[in-house]
Amino acid sequence: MKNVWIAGIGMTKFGRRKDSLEDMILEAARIALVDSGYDDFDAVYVGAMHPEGFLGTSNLASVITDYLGLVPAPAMRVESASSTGAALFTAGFHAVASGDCRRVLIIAGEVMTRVPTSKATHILSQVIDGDERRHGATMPALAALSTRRYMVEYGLTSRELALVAVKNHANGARNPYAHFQKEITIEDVMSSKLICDPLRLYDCSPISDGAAAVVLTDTPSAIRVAGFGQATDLISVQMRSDLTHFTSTRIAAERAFKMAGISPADIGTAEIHDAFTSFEIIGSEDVGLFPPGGGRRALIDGITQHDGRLPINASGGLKARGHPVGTSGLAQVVEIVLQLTGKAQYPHPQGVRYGLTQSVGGLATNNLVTIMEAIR
Amino acid sequence: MNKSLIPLLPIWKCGCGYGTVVERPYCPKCHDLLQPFSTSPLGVVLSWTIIHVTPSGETEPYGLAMVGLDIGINAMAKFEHGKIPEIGNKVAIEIHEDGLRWIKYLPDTPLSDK
Repeated sequence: MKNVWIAGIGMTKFGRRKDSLEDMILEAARIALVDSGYDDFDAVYVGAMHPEGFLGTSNLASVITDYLGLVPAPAMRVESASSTGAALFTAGFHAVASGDCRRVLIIAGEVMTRVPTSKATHILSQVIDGDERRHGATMPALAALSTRRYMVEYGLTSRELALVAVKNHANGARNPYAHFQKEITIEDVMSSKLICDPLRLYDCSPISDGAAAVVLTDTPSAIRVAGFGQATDLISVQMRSDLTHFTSTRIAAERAFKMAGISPADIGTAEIHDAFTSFEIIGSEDVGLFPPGGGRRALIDGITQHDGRLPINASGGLKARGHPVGTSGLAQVVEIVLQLTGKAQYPHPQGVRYGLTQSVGGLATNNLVTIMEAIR
Repeated sequence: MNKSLIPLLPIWKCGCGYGTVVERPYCPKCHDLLQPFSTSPLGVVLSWTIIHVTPSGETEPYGLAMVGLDIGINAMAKFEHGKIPEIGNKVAIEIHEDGLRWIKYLPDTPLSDK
């Protein structure tokens, strides 16, 4: 397998945007093209979770390839629910690593704010198991069941959990791409309305619009894709044995670290899928950065702050940067590249060699972990 | 209360021992065919949530619990808002007319003071 390198990155500002999905994707792609210095590609990979439902649009890969002037480059769309952006990244990786492509453009975008919140909730709920949906479960409901069980088993309190939202909002306030750019307090979190007890509004990532793009190449650059792993899990949470941790992340992380030939102790910064605040703690344990229950301790001790020993979501994460579902997995990669190259405009660790991303598809039914290496 | 009055809970089970309340054709452990089976509806509450922001059609908050059945499989069940079962306590699950699984409180099931 050939080494794969990141030649360029691009991202739009996240939030409630007026632009069309196509325009946002083109904006991110053009920034990545300029950043990479390339203008022709052997393949184009496009990711979006549900443009049919959010916008009624379709055939996105061909449309984008046409608008970018890249016809007749082969193009396809990749989808794995809310980890679409990460799955897209691995699809592009395979194309270059196999030697079939020398350069690929990968672009993810989602526009979610055109539909009312109730419709967005409905669309997002469609990714969970049918039996659980019939019983009234939603994505936040399943996350809440997992969160309360974690609280019981590891002694996490609601006030401690609020620290994730407080930290990530503080980080997002300094990220010019972030949806939310204001700091919040523990009291703000604790007084926000209950969505699914014990999860409150400020425990949940927002419904956002946004796009991100990455150019992958077989030509050495400052950032090497060191490893990745992907694993699925049973759609029904009832069919799994573990309520508090996600086997799919654990398997994905094992594969990623094996491929990279490093251990979790080598990671200097991480972007973890904090669609719900508890998922940051759980995810940080599942990828092996902390033992079970250790994510809570690390949070309380400030280890995961942007100036801590192991920053998590220095960008603000999905919680504050925003969560355009199909984009987030690729946006995490963009943030790690910005941090490893010292180009992030928000406070982030300096001189880090390895950065990690973890992305959750559905209720942990299709999870991915990627590891990037800075070459100095 | 005579526990035998609580109907058995329908599940799907594999010869390898794996069981689930969710209908699936194949066993995720050994890939053999799953067969209909009935089991004790008794278990303990592992977790619960009250859903305040509801999907289309529901206007009142409602409860959802995860129950660890005595035979070692998990089952989701609904409960009325205001009748929150305490984690770790014994409950039963019964199928209501709506075809869904609901928590059935046993005479000695304490409710949470939340």
